[in-house]
Amino acid sequence: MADALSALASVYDAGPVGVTRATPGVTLQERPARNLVQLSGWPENFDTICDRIAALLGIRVPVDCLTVTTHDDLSIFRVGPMRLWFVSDTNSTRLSEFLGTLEAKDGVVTEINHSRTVLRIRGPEARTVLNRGLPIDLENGAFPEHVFVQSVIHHIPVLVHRLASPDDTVFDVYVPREYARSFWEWLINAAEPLGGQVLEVC
Amino acid sequence: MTRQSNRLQSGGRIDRSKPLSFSFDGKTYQGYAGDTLASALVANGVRLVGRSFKYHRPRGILTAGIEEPNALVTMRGGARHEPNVAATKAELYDGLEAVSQNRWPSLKHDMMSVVGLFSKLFAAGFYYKTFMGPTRGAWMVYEHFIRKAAGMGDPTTVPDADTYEKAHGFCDLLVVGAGPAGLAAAITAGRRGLRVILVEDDAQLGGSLLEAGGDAGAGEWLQSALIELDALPNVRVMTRTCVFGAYDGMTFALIERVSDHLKEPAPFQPRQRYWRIRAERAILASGQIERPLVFGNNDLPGVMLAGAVRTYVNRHAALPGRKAVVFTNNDSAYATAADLRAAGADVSLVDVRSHISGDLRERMNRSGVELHLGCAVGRANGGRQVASVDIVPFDPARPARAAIRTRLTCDLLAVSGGWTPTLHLMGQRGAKPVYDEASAALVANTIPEGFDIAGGAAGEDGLKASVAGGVRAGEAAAKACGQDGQGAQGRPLADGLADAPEVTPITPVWQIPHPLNTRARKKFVDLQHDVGAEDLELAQREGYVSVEHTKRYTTLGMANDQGKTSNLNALGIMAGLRGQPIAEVGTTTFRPPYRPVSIGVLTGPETGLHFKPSRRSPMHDWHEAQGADFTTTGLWLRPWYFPNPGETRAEAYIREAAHVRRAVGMVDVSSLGKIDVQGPDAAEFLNRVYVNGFKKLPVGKARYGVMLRPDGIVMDDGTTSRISQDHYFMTTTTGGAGKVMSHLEFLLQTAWPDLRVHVTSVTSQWAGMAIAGPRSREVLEGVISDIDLSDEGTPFMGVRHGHAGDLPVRVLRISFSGERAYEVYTPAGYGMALWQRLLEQGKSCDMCVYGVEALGALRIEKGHVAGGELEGRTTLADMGLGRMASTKKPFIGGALAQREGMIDPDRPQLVGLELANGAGTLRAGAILCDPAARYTRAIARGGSIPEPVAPNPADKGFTPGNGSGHMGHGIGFVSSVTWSPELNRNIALGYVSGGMARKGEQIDAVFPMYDELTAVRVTSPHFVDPEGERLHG
Repeated sequence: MADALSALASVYDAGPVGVTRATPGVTLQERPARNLVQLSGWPENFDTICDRIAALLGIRVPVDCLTVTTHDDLSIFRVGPMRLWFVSDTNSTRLSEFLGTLEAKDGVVTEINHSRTVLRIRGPEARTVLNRGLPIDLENGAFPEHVFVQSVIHHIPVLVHRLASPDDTVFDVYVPREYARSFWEWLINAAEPLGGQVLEVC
Repeated sequence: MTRQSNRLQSGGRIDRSKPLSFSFDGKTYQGYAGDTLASALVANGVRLVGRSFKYHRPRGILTAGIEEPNALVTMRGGARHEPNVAATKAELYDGLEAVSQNRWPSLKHDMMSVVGLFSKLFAAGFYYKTFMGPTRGAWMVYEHFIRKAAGMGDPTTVPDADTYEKAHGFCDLLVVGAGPAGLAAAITAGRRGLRVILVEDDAQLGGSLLEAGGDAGAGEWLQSALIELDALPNVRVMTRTCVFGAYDGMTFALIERVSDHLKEPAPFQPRQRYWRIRAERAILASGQIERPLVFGNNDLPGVMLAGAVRTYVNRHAALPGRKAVVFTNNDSAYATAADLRAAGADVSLVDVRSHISGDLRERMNRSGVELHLGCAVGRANGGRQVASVDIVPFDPARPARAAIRTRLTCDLLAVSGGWTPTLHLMGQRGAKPVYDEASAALVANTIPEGFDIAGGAAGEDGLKASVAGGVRAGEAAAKACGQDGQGAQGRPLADGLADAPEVTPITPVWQIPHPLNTRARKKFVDLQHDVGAEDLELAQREGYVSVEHTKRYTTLGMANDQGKTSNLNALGIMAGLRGQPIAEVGTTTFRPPYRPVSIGVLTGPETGLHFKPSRRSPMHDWHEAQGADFTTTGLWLRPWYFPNPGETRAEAYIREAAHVRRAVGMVDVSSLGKIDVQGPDAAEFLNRVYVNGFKKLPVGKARYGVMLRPDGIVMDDGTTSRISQDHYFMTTTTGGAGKVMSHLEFLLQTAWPDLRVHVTSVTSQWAGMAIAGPRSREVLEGVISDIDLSDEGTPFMGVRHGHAGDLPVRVLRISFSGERAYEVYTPAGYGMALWQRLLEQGKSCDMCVYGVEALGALRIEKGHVAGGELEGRTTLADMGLGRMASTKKPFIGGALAQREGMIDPDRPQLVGLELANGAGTLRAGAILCDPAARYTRAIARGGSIPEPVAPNPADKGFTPGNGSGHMGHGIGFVSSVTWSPELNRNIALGYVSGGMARKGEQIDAVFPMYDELTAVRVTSPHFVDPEGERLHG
């Protein structure tokens, strides 16, 4: 299988951006292509499907919308009342097998793995740079780890996920692929006054 | 460079170790760090700083804050040129350059000051009355000259050199103003653990404490408060920031002047930042604004608010005058008198009140201030600055003209007419202040939910009362936010502060009559707009009685200062004229912004290509590298055409379209909306959404579908493919994708929640490319090996899945051009790889790449509808697709599509159009008219009855000028036009009443904007291959 081409391929340059600081205020990094599958279920049996997921994949389905559960490499985002996103960096055979067992009466599966560009933003100024455009309170009490929001930055629809990190503030931002370059340009512009560092894709 | 002639030898909050050089009107001066431009000018003895708006009268510095109406200057230059900057708020930096405004040839010798001689003539309403005629358009001539004569600084047309940012902030409590009340509120709430944002317009915290001079305990209290504030990590302090707007949901708009105090921003530093803060609670500790007094010549340079004098003396160590008169109706100006005296000035104090407290009298006596009680300044005298004042006896209860008692020479007149609480933000939320007789001020009446007020804004005078008010408001906010318990302990903030001295009540005075036996002088109420007391009288006489009407007739309270120093004096004068209490006169409405805000900061980084974000296809970089010109559709940047060197747009698209018909071409269609419709009830759902049936569409087939709005008008069209039994792949137009997606979601969530269907936008997931032309199959066969692309294997409207090498592909045999064509989709990350493989294969098939313009030409030739035809007014029948609607099932819009007006046979219907005589211009948007109606206008005007046969526009001598002779909406319109490479002539699609029944008729196409009339002939919309043979060829 060919490698998927990043939407940022022509504009992505690792290195410092903006003001020079001893320690970057924020690091920006594109996450490599990843598995992203959507499962949408039906009211009458969604709980049963969630139980099957927990049993087969060993991961609890988040009960509340806008929360994430993670086990090993696999994360489950509850993006809607009966809608889940399965996200992993590598192919999960068990996930593929499970999804393959589903029939339309159980729920529908939609491949959206090429639809998003994922950017990791971390560092002491991570909140600051996001709040240059994101109208969401990102402080610990309002936006703890394992929580995400779907909102808008610079008129671009985004999903912002706060990852668990013991000594750092880390967000993954999911941007529709066709907006990725516009978003990246906005992000670099916002990071420059804070002292940014673009890391190699990883 | 001049000596700082009025700089005090010691004191002030300036840094004398950091001298700064600046220029005003080309002359170089020196100031210190901590100065404002205004204080530096005061320190250098500069009095004349501007000319007034209308009369070009000399003006000096009146205030020390954002309310300044006079000292507006133009700062910086070139791409950083900024007019109308209040010198009182411009922090001094080394190299600052400022020039005065609204004068020619110089500030000192302004030719337009002659206008002042005729000031009686140029009263309120002068322009409205004088420049009404003789014609309706005459104003447009006058306006140019009037605007040149009046006004403030000139804007620049050079693009702004600076950058701006936007930001969002959140807090439990927003405290507006960092004077004693604001500091106390922030510390109190901070101790309780609230997330607090404390906003201060000034560069330093402290508010009135910064200008308090030697007031007992003020300096120590401030220092202690700042130390504690610094230790509270949950309190964020934002200086040089102004809350200029309060909006719904406790949302506030702020402007942070990040680098206005610098000559230019540091690298990557924005000039300003626009904040939107969302708060649970807000406390206004925004203090008060002092009012001037209204008397003759009260605008002379050297007339200054008493509080401002105190600021310049105590904070900036700048002495505004050496021989001062203080004129007041309240106690606050006595502190100014004392401070001036302590700074070495000779001081006389004039008070309209006959009695003051013994304490005040004792302080003045001790300071050596000469008192004139029960008196007023009848008028000030001087040319370009105040030189003396005439003192008259004055009884506030019975104001009357009186003879001059004495004349006092002076170079400074400090005035205080009382203080008005700054309640603008609450006013913006609909809480209008009301007049309070006791304090002679506009005070809060109702307090909006979520708000509180403290300190001067709440009428709490003195340090102790302000601190106590701040503590009370801070505790209330903590309680409201659920922090009712004990937080971090701290010293009681008001402990040890002295009680306020005994106060002699203010005596409101709204204007001082002219002294007897003197000529009347202008008494200004609104100094920025040159509105005098006599203008208010004139407005009342002429019937502009309401406060809102008076404001608009006289322009009082408008422009930069928004009447901050003039509103209440105007209300007082109006009340006197109307014989009513002020409370019944009413107040005008406060609206954002509280202070001037640059357009740049509201725009933020959203400029140029980032005015809106752009959507790019997976193959965008390739298009860019090939030199494509782009067009935008629904934020998408789509390749418009690919010009060869030297080619025009028309030459390029005509070449591309012809190439497709001759051989094969490829176009990027990734921008088409793509929606997965999935679930056991997906077929039923589509059946209800589309006008035509989808239930029986076999797996592996696509079908063209049209969906209507609920009102029966066509919403969008596209093809939908059945991928599996429960999975459909819908495509929409590029511009209609969002609308269709919302429509489908809305129906599923509200109308048919029982249907087990999910819709997901997969526009981002797929790259799409269309290969069209006689040799299209040849190209695909060279790339895709596991799909039978023969007519049998992949028939017209067939859908197949396979691979192009290792790339997965979905192939739809559908055509927009009328040629044999395929749409090929692959996951977006593989889009570029597939595109290049097809390009490589295309070399052997003479394939070109074409853009949206050629795509449009091809579809118009074929008679396919698109954006121009789906324009929100057309029905299915209008498009000639009435028979497509199923009669066996209901569908959205089906019922209302049967309304009388929707099935009117005279509705315009889709037709093709051509130039009737080969002459003229076809334009999209042209109105189609019946030639027989061409002379309607002549008849309407009572002219002679025209010839029954209209002249032919192509006839020699025919002038399509003024007119076409047509009026009204015509009988239809032209929706799309193109040059047809296939037919070698201009063609168009349009809608015309009667539709194809008019085939062969000649009608008029009128384009009023260019005054054009073109004869066109109605023809079939299917210009190319009407039988569809090429689709299958």
